[in-house]
Amino acid sequence: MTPPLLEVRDLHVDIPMPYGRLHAVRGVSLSVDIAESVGLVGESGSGKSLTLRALLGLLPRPARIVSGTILIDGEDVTGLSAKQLKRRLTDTMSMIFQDSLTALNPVMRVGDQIAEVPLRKLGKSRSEAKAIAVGLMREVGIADPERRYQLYPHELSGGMRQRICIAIALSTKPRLILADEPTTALDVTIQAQVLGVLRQLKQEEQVGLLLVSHDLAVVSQTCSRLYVMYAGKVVESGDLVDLVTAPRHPYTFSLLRSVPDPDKRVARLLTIDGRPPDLTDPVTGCSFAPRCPFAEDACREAEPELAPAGSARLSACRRVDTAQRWTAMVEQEVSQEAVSRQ
Amino acid sequence: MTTGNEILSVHGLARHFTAHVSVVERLFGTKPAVSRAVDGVDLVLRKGETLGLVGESGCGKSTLARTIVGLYQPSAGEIRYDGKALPAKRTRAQQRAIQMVFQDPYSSLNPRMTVEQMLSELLRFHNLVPRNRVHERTRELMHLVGLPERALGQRPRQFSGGQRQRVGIARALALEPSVLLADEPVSALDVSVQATIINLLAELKETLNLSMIFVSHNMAVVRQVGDRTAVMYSGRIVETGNTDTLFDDPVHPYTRLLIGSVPRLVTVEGPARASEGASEDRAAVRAEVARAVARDGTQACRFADRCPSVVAGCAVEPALLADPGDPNRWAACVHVAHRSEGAIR
Repeated sequence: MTPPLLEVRDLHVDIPMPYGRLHAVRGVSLSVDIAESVGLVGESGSGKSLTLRALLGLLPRPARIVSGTILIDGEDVTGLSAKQLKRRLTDTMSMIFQDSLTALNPVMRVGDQIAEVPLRKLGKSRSEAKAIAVGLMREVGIADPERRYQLYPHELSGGMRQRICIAIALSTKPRLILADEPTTALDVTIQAQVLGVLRQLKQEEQVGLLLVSHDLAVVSQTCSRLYVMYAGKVVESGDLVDLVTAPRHPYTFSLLRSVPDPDKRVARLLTIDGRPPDLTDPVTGCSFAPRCPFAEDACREAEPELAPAGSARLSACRRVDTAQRWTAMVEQEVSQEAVSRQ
Repeated sequence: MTTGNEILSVHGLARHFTAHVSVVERLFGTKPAVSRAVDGVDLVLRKGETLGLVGESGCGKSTLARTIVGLYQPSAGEIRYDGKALPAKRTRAQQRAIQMVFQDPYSSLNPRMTVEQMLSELLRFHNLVPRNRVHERTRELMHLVGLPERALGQRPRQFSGGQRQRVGIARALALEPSVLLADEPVSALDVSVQATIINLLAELKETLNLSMIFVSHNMAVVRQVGDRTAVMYSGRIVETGNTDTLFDDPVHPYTRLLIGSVPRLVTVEGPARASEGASEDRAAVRAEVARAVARDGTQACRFADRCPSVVAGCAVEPALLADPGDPNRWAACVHVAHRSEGAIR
């Protein structure tokens, strides 16, 4: 069996704070196979973006990796020297950010920004690099690339700029693209187009994708496997369709029921009361227990580990065996609430 | 549009912004660039209903909301509240009647004031309750928006995003408005918190008998809250109708594009998605429209350059017309006139 393209084992990231250490990523393990697209979903503060940034050594100061292993093609790269490591990582992966305006150089023509890597790193001549850049622009669906090559970032719309960022990410010929909320700043119609570009890359170029988003629907449009993060940990993972149709962790379950559906109106959206735990304090028990509709006393005592829950599924819930009844349990509660309100 | 039990209506409302022109440019006679953020909007809000207002960034939906609430002076048109046109300078009672909940509760609340100071300042200024009852009223407001009483002593930064939005709602409700304008009230919040605020607004609307305009770029959210929905594009309303019929059977090509673009959970292959391929087949028609506009000096339909169903008739901007099949539905599209003949789909 071929080892996964990228594997992360037990990643811990800390942020030193004036009043203590914020343990932002608490032992995340994940893997992406060759040409696979994987989603990493969570709310703000769940540690999903930090996990992604840690992979490329792009952690914002003062966050730092405490421990963890990164394997590329099954080879442990953590022991390499800083220079070698950087080279190995950037040869394999490139990244797309949420805000394309700050990610691009404002005083450089967009085409030249795409041509930079072929020119400086791949040793191409000026005209070759330009031809590569124009080709990449066409590939990400930019019409009339020769003319747009000459433009500056501020002269392009948000969707166009994000396409330029994707083209830059592709210019290193990566085997994996890391995308941090790539469509969050875009309008829905433009978002649909950019997601289309990402889907197409996967199908035609065999480029893997690790997509971080707070939006389950966006992830479900592009990814085939999913990790759900809560309070710095992966709480559930598995095949996307399985996970969305039959969640095996109460957090995923609640999240799915609180997302408004554009095709159906519901009387009342399910809400998740409370807020995620403060990760500067040590977490005792399951981090979701205080907000969980199904928590029992044992849940508050020891933090459950990720354990197999069906084929290719992992869940960090003690009560995973009751998952089939969750829908019924919540609906009973809602109807009781309705009765008591009358 | 239909009249009757309307509480607020807007007629031909426009709000234009003029770019700054330097002295030198003025000497050369440069005309300032005018941005027509809101450009002729007709809209009706009925008593006790929630009207969803959707559109993409830059379509003018926030400017429209701010003009209605009185933060901007209209460039043209009028706003009628309770049957009377609102004057340029509103009375205090008129100011109170229409209140706004902002997108970012952090920048819309004074960071140096506690919630109690903030609310009691409003209550005293508007003389809403006797002085000795101000504290009691602030406590009531906390109950109303589901915050504990101790929240009164806290400052905005001590709250989470969702709680802060509750404070923003309490601030609006302190003035006992009859119309609440919520401008992207849940866009800055996490999904799980978003649901609590949507539910809260729906409850408050019922218990306080409010009418609400809910502005959002999020189609899924509007589907949940709006009795009726209005779709805005480039400063104009392009379609309005009952929320369910509008979402299930959109008439205007832009509405269809918007609804089709919303990402769905695990679709095998979603409904007709925004594709650029379709627009290329129409290049000839678009060129024809451009020629007609240049020749006759008309204003073309604003959506014509993106519209997958563009025809030569799009060279003249269509008016907002009632759908022959549904009196509640209005759309501004040449195709609507032919809809009964089945020309559009």
